[in-house]
Amino acid sequence: MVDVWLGAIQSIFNPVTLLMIWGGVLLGVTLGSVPGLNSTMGTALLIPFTFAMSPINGLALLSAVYCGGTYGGSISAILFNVPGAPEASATVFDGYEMAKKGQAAQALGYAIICSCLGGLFSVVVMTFISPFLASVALTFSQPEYFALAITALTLISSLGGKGLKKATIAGVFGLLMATIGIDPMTSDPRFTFGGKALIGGINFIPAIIGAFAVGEILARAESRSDKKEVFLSKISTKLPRIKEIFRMKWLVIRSALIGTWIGILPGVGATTAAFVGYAEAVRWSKNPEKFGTGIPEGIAGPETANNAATGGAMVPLLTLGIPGSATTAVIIGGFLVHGLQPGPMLFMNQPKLMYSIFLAMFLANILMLFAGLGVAKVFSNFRRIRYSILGPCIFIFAAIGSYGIRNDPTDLWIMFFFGVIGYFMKKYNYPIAPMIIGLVLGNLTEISLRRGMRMADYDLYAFLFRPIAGVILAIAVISILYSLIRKKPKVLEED
Amino acid sequence: MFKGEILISAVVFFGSLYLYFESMKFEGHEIYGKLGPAYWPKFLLICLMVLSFLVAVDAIRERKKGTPENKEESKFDGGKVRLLLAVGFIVLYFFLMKIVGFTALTPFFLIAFMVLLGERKKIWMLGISVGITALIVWAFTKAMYVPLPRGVGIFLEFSHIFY
Repeated sequence: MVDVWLGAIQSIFNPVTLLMIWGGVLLGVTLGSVPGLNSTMGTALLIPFTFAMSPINGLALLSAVYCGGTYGGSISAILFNVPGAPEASATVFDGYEMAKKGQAAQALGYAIICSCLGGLFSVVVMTFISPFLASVALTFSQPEYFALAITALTLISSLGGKGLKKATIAGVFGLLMATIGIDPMTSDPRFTFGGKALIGGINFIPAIIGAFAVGEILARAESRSDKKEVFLSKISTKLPRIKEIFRMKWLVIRSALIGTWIGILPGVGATTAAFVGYAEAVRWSKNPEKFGTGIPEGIAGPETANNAATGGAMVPLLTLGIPGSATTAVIIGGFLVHGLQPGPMLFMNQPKLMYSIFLAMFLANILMLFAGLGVAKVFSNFRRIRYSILGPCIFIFAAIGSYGIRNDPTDLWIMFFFGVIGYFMKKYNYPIAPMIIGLVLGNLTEISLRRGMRMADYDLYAFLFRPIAGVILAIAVISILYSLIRKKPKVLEED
Repeated sequence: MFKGEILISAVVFFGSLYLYFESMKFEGHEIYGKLGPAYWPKFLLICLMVLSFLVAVDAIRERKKGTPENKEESKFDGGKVRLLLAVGFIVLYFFLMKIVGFTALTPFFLIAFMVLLGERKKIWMLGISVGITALIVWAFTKAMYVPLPRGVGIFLEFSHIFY
C-alpha cells in the first residue's frame, strides 16, 4: 500500500501533471461561472485531447475540471442571481441576497471555503472507504430515494417566509411543472397540448434562470431607479475567518456527509445534494426564518454539499463502473480512450492510477481556492457596471445559458415564462425557492413513488417501512414537527 | 394588492381545474399498475386548488381587517409601461431570433433594453452591445461549439461570416 501511495505521489507531483490539474481547475471554475457552459461540457470537449496524454495526466485534468466546475457556478449565482451551473442553483437563495446587502465579498468567500472543505472531505472519504460505500449505496432502492426527496421537500415549510400556504403553492407548482413532458414510466405525453415543444419536459435551469434573473430584470425595468447600488464599490473575495467557519462546523460536516452520500447514489447528482444540503441547513438552524434573506449558512449548506458530491460521484464510478452524475458519465470516456474499464478490477490492476486520481482531486480542491479567488475577482468587476448596462447583458447571458443546455429555442420561452412567473411571485410575496425545489426534485419524487409502490405491490406499509426509508422519513417527520412547534407562533403570525 | 392576490388565486384555481380535466386524458394508459401517469399530477392539482382557495380566503380576511398593506395601487404609471415594453422587447427578440439570427439581432436588442433601463451614454451602449455579442459568439461557437441561431436568407449569410 505504501508503495502504491509513493508511486501516486511521484506521478502527481511532477510539473506537467501539476500544470494539468491547475489548468483543469481554472478551466472548470471559468466554465462553471458562465451560464450555459459547465464542467460536463468541458470534460466532454477535453476527452479527445487527453488521448495524447498519459492516463494519469488525462484523468487528473478531467477530475480537476469536474471539481472546479462544480464550484464555479456559485460565482455568477452570488454576483448576478444567475447560477452558472445547475449545482449552484440553491446558492442563489442566500448568495444573491448577501450581494444585494453589499456582502458579495463575504458570500464569495464562504462559497469558496465551503466548496473546498466539502470537496476535500469527499475525496478523503472516497480514498479510504470507496468499496464499502459503493456496496451500501447499491442497497438504496426507490422507497429510499422517495424518502430522500420527501425529506428535501419538507424544506418548503421552513422557507415559508411571508406565508406557509403561498410557499406550499409555489412548491406544488414546481412539482407540477416537473410532470410536463413524456411520462418516464408509460411514455404518455403529459400537458404537452399536442405539440412537440414540451415533450422533453421543463429543464430546471431555464426555469431557475428565468425565475430569478429575468424576474429581477423585469422588476428593475418597472422600478427603474438611478440610485447607486451598495455593490458599486470594488469587490474582492473576503475569506471567512477560521472562527467563523468553526462556528458552522456542524453545518459543514453535515452538508459534507450529505453531499458525499448523495453523490455516491447513482443518478442523483450534485444539484440534488445542494438542495438537500440547504434543506438540512434550514432544518437544523436555530434561525430558520433567516434563510433566504442572505446569511452565510445559506451558502455554506449547498456549497459544501455540492462539492462533496463530486468525490461521492466518483465512488461508484471507480469501484463499480457506474457513473454517479452526468460529468462522471463523461469521465468514463476518459478511461475508455486509454483502454481502461472503471470498476473493481481497476483497483486490482491499476492501484497507482486510482490513488493518483484521488490525489489529483485532493489537490484540485486546494487549488480551487486560488483559481476561485482569481475568477471571482474578474467577475466581481462586472458588478461595478450600472444596472442599465449590466441588466441587458445579464439577460443575454441568461438567454444563452438557457439555450445552450439543449440548443432548443423552447428553453428560451421556458425561461421567459418563468421570468414572468418570478416577477409576479416576487410582487405578491410568493417565495421562489420552494418552486425551484419542487421543480428540481419533482421527477425523483414521482418516479421513486410510482416505481417503489409497484415494487411493493401497492402496499403502502411495505413501501414506507423499509428500514432505511423508514428511518429517513421518521427523521424528516420528527424534524418538521420539531421546527413547527418551535417556530409555530412566527409562522402562523405571518401566515 | 388585494385585487392582485384574488386574481392570482383565481388564475391558479381555474388553471388547475383546467389542467385537472386535461390530466383525465391520461387515464387508460396505466400499463404499469395503479399509479398511472395521471395520479401524481391530479394529486398536485387538487392541492393547488385547495391552497389557492385558502390564500384567497386569507386575502379577503385581511381586507376585512383593513390592513394598510392591502391598499389598492391601480394607477397605470411609467413603470408599468416600461414593464410592458421590456416584456415586448423580450418576446420580439425571441421571435426574431430564428429569422434574424443571434449575431445580427443581439446588439440592437441590447441597445433597446439599455435605453429602456435608462442608459443614455451612446458610446457605452454601442461598445458594450457589440463587444458582448462578439464575446458570446466567439466563446460559444468557436470555443464550445454551441450552434447559436443563424437566421435565414441574408442574415444566414451574415452569420456565416462569423461562425
